[in-house]
Amino acid sequence: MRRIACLVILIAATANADNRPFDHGYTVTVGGGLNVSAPYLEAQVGRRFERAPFFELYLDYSYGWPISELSFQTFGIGERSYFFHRPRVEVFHQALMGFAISSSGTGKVQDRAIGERFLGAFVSQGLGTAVTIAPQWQLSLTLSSGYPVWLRSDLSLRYTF
Amino acid sequence: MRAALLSLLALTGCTGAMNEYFAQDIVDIEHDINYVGDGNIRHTLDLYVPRGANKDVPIVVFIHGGFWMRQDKSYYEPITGLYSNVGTALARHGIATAVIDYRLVPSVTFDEELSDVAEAIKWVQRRGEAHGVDATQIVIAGHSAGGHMTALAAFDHDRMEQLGVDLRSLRGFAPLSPILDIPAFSLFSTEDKDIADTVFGDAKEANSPSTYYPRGAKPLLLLYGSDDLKEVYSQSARAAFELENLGVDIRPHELAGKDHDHVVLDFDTDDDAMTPLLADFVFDVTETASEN
Repeated sequence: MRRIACLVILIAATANADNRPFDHGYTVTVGGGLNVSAPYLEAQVGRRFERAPFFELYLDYSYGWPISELSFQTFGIGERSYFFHRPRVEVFHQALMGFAISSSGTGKVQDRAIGERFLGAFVSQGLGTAVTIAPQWQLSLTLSSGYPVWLRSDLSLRYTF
Repeated sequence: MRAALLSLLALTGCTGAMNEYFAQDIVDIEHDINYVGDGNIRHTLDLYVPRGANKDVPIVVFIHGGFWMRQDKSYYEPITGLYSNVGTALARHGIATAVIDYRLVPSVTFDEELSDVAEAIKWVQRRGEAHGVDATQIVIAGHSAGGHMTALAAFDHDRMEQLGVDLRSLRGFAPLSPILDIPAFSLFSTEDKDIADTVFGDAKEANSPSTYYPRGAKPLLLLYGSDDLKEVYSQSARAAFELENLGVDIRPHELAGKDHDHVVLDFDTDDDAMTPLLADFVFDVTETASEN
């Protein structure tokens, strides 16, 4: 029993020393995934606070391939709450809200002013996991649901500095 | 596990809401326009107008189904996509759509139900231009019971005129999986008889489009599924034959693999065989420039 306890302490200490996620600072994330079946690319800049490393606030931009007729872009603000924290793995809940605008259109869909391209607000929330692949670098996979996109998968690379 | 499955089911059911949200890139949608002005939610219509459209856009007035006693213009819309899928699909072809609600039996009589449909058509004729459509170029379409009322409007001109509808602007009619012969429908099954008795009472003949063949020689697009309800399939196939022999400009299409529900559920999906036919029909019978 004592041996096992020593082993656990040793592993934990080693892990904390070498592989602990870089859990505060500015974050830059790039990634992409699927809005149900339509692909999208995204970029985020965020901040994990030193006094509350379980919390990250971020700004989100994405470019989505058409779900209807035209491609679209989204702009939003989101937060992540890291509720499970292990040396190399974190699990988080995230919520994102923002708005979408479609592209201006060509051909039979006439060019339109930006106000006419406004599609409205969106919200999403989901669960994700982040794996530390190198100091300051994390790979994360998230599954979100919300309105109007009811299933959004996301694979992204995050750098914290 | 059950909760997870239910949650997943609920989530997967939100495709309709997602499609309507993104469809705003090509269609302007006005919900719940009251066509009577009385505040009754059943007296409302949703208007779908192609974005960037000129004033010469033809319009389809679409009447939902539900055996005259059920459904509405946004029937489980977030899950089924009904009936924004019809408005969106036609908008992609440059056609406006008014998807209408109407009061249902047994809250009202069938005559009152049909008069609501007439009121909605009259609203489009009066106010359509203010909403960016050509109110002189109207096609009436409907599914199932809505197809029945579409066909009744096509053939029972006297009643439409009594209800104040200007027939000149009605350029064509497109019943989808319609019920065309009420007496025959009531003989098909006990359930059908109960429905027909409840809705029409003794006036089955008078409310049957088949009674008025071949009055009303305006073009007719008749769509029905190869796997449609047996009574609908047999009536549609028979009507196509009879009307063609009577010299009516009828354009029947049996949609391969479609059952009664998917004749309307599949609008604006990858399996949409209806919209191209309906859009071609609209541009053919109206005096408007086609999308091409």
